[in-house]
Amino acid sequence: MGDTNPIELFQKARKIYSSLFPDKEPDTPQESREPRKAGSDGEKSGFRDYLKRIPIIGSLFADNATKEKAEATREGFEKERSGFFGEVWESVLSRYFPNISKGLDGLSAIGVTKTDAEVVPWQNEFEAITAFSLLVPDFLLKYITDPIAKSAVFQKIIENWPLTGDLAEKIKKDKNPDDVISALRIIHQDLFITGKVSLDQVRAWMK
Amino acid sequence: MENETLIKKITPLLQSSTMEPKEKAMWTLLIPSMEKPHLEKLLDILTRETNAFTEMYFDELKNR
Repeated sequence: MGDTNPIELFQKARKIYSSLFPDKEPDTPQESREPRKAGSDGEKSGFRDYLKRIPIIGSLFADNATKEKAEATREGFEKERSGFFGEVWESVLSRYFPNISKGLDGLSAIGVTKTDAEVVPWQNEFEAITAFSLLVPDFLLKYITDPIAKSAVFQKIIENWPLTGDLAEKIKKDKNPDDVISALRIIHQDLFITGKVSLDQVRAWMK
Repeated sequence: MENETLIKKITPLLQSSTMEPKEKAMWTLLIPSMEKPHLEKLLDILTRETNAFTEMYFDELKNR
């Protein structure tokens, strides 16, 4: 692996520089010790040399072919993780979803947090999932929002909820993760902050 | 391998992965709740990714 020696790399970079700019030899150590004249052409050409070297150093460590290969590799592994995430999320959800309330109750009991009584069943669980969704990258979000968008309970709720525009129709049609998250935020705000929609109304819709 | 050993192997590999910081934080939160087969699969994906980029880096150096 002699080629990975930094000195050899620098020498190669110097050769590349010379081959690209044959009319301008890189500074020798002797030359570099000589002070440049302030405000003169010498100072300007020194700065120009510096600017010329930036793309050379960049191309030395990452040419376009390598960048493309790296991007393709990165995307390949992103797809692998994407296919795998749905499986992981389903497993975690099936084992921990029913226990979130118990966990929160436990924390409340020992005085770490104070959990308000649930206004609707599963409120704590849904709020925990909505909070977790903030950490999920866009390309994985559909694995969290799709089961919600397909849920009969959620569809019934958004049919009746005073959502703006045609958000409910868009969710039913496209199941766009951003739309589902927007609807969840509106529902949370209307129910728990502004009181625009009451729990009694929700109960009446679900009958 | 025990889950704890798997998590100890996964954690540093997550940091060297090319995934965005948000996804790293997400996996970091998820791994303590993941089942063994899923931990093994995640470790395999991260190991192959790290090896692929390491090989690419050394190939690039050798070719210069």
